Amino acid sequence: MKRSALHRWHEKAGATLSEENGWSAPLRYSSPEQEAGAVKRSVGICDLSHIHEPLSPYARLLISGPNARLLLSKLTSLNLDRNTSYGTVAHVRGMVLRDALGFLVLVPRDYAESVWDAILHAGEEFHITPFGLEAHRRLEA
Amino acid sequence: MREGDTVASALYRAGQRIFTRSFKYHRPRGLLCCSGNCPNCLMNVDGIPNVRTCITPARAGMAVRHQNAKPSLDFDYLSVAQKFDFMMPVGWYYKRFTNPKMWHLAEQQIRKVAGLGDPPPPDVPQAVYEHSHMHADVAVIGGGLAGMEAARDAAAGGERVVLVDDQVHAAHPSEANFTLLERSYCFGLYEGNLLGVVQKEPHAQARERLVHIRAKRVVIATGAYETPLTFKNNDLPGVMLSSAVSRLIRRHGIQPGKNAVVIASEAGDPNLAGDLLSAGVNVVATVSPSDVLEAAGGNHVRTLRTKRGNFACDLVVMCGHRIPDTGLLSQAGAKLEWSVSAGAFIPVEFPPNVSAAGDVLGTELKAAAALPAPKESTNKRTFVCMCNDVTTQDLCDGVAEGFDHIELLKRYTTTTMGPCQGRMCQLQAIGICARETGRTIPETGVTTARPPNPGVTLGALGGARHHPTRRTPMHYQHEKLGAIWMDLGDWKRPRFYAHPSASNERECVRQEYQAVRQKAGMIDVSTLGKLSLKGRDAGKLLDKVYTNRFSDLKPGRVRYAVLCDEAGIILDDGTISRQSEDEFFITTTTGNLDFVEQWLEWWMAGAGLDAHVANLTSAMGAVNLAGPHARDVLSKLTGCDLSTAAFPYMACRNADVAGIPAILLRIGFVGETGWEIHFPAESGEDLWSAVMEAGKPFGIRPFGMEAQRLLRLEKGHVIIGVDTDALTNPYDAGMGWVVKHEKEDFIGKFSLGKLADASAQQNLVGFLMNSDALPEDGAAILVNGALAGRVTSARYSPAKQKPIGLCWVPASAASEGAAIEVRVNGSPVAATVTRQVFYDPEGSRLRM
Amino acid sequence: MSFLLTCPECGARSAYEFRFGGEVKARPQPDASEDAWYRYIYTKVNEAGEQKEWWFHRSGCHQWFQALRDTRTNTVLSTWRPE
Repeated sequence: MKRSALHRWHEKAGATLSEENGWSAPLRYSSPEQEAGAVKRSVGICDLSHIHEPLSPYARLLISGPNARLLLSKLTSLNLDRNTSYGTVAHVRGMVLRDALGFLVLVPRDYAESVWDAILHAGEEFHITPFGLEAHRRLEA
Repeated sequence: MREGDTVASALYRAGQRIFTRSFKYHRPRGLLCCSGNCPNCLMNVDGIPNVRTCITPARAGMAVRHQNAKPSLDFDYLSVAQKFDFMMPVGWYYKRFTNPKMWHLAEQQIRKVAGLGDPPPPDVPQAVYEHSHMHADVAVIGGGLAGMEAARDAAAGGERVVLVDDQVHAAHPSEANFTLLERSYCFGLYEGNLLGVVQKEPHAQARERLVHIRAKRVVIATGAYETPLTFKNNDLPGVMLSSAVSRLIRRHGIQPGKNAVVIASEAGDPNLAGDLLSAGVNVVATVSPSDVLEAAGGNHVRTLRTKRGNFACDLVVMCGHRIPDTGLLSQAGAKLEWSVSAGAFIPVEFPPNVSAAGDVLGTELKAAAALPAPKESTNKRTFVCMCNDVTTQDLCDGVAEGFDHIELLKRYTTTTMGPCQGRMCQLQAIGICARETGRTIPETGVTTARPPNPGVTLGALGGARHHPTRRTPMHYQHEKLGAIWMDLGDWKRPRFYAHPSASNERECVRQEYQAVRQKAGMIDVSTLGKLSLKGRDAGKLLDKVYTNRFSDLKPGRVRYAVLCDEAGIILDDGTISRQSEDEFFITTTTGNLDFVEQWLEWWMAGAGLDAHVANLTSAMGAVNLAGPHARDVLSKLTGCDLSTAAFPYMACRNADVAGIPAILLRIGFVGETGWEIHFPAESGEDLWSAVMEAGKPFGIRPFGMEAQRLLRLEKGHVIIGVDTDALTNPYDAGMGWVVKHEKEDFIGKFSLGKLADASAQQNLVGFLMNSDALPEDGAAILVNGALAGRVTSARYSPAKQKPIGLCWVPASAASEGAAIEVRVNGSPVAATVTRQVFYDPEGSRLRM
Repeated sequence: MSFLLTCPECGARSAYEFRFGGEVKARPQPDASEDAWYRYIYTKVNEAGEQKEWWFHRSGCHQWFQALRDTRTNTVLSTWRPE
């Protein structure tokens, strides 16, 4: 089974994991309704690393919610008006893409845990909530 | 304590009059400015040193302590220093401590008594600091009338505006394009209109946030502030600026004193009289600045002596010079000009995209008193620089001693170099310098303005305590196996694995070593740089950039690769394998991957080559599986023919390992038959588990960096950057064979051609200790008793049963059997040079 | 040193995002004189004025480009990708 760099974190957080595209991916941490609600109220983070091109170096993190921009601006000097930017997030070089649900942060997978932790830490101010694929589908609908 | 109180106002209301003791003389100091501009109110609040209590909101439960006064503010025994002022003239360190030994002794004592606050002890809980970034069309600094108006206008015009102000605002702007940063101050205006702003308590969890604002244009509306007048004992508690007095009365409802003398020329604050009246302060007299002789009192002002008579008072209100706060404008490169009517330097020319609004322009200002202070006020108790206790006497003496340029006078006397950074004192200092040198004030000029001003905490500069860490795909498996970690740049790598059967590190490493030499071992080498180079011109590019030839490398073969610069210095090494006609797979050392990628890209830039580099380092994991049973283990997991006939040494194949697509390189860094296996990172855990499982019957052991260092050292394999340095060329390092001079052109060809002909001064050679003494890496080498080189790597070798290593020696001592000495524990110990590889010199173990 | 450099790919960024790659210099032919090689490897013009130089966007797109910068004022006059 292919694993995201955040795999251990999801396990420790008690996520329900399932196979997605050959990858182990987090479906939910608590309940999809609660997770989606928290995201809509403030901000959440979702590991979408299973959406992966062959030989891509990146882990894929979605930051979604009304406070997504404020949260990201604590971690990057990028001008977040652009659709696609190369730049550093939490001192790690990667990319930020604008997404229908917020911002996709792409960082090399060896740095992914470090960046995930930095996002959670900066997100404490906004009561950031990790959310899984089920909540993600709800938000997309 | 009342609502709206600052720490200082609450203390003042409770009767506190002495707030600090001065830096040098430990004179009592009281509130002076009440606006965060002077050093007089600095105290320790909740463990944080040097807090400007006059602008810090008070909160119930705050622990407030005085600084640099023993035993108390009211009685500080170090105030006896004043009696010895004759021993401490301006520049007294330079004059008194001409003997280095004396200075070292004195310094220890001076350090104990000097300074203001103390850093918090280590057990104080760490505060949280953070950073953030903003992009704006317009940044306005200062939220007074002019600043607010400029910000509103810009926002109404559709621009994205951010307004920085130190106050708390009752109402916040509602427009989406108007951001108010309150409780914030700007400390620097940098190139490209980058502003450094500190926001205090941005939310409950954080103490300070450093906001970086990149603005297309900046409006400075920082206003003007009041500075003290100069007369003898002008630093006594109870001598205050009029703006401070008004603030205590209006904002905090405090009666600052009972009987006041007001010092004012025509340009005084018209509202002052009303304020004093409303607070019930009895104005004993109003005198002109030129009539003032001295203030007098012990710990507090009791009398003001003037040419018009002596007045008993407990409050002296100075209507001082108001000067524009031009610090940020100066930092940006605005031109300042001396205005006689204003009695100040005012901004007259602005750099592009920087402008000013309001009192900072200085157009409304009027000089409060003649500048400079008259010669008669030259004495050792008229203070110009309150922060560092610099008096008018000190400044005159400084000029007399030859420090007659304002920049020199500043540094010699330390005027303007304290917490206020010149706000209270620079103008007076310039005035005195001008008077003493017979120049005008504009001729004397100002000192260069530099950020940060005001000061900024190290915590704010540091931000969130987050160090990026890199982990390989198998990180948690190493954890479970008892890895003892080491840092390699941002990477975490196992140095060795703790094992129940081994009591210490040496034993663990020895066991790992034995496993590789006799059974099978696996090491995680995911940190190696991995680059894919594709295109019709890929081979041509490699021939140009590397010293070796690669265009003739056959698909399925691997070659050792050395990268040199144009001076012939080794930059990096690695392996290059050819995957197909147009595709190469390049490995580099962990530390130099970024550099190699940049180097390759640079030589391609604008060269019109059909070649593309992709950095696969993070996309792929890698392991080295090595040992006499490596083949037995690996063949359980792959259908690839691993026999030497089908897969010889220095060949590469693509094959599935445990169902995972992998690149297999048969190379031998550790000197045993083995394969470097590269695979997609997301499958790393599965592959590692599969190999460990398959290797169980053969006694496979994971091995770490320590064991790897030893294994490769026995083979004499060089580690770039450990055994080589920034001056090493391939000939010194014994690798001349990698340079193919017959190539038409390549990076370093010219220099390497010369180096090939020249005789090397120093050589990298192996050595064996004659005894069991084990040198440290970097130990000195002595030849004929003289320092001649150094050890780069040394370890105890099980194969040789002696310590071995690599070292740099002069050419004269570089031959087989040459006698050298190595410094071990401070003493020279005999050793012998060897050019032979220590273990398996024929390399037969690699080719099994 | 926070002046702005316009990366041809990513737009204007702080100078700290980039690695300075030295003055743009023509590389001598392999058979050029020792003097020409010495000057190429070891000496710099160090222009006090407009200088043509290399920059690498190390915090961003990882592309090399050239810039014309006034070394006296850090004003970057133009940036382009070399042909």
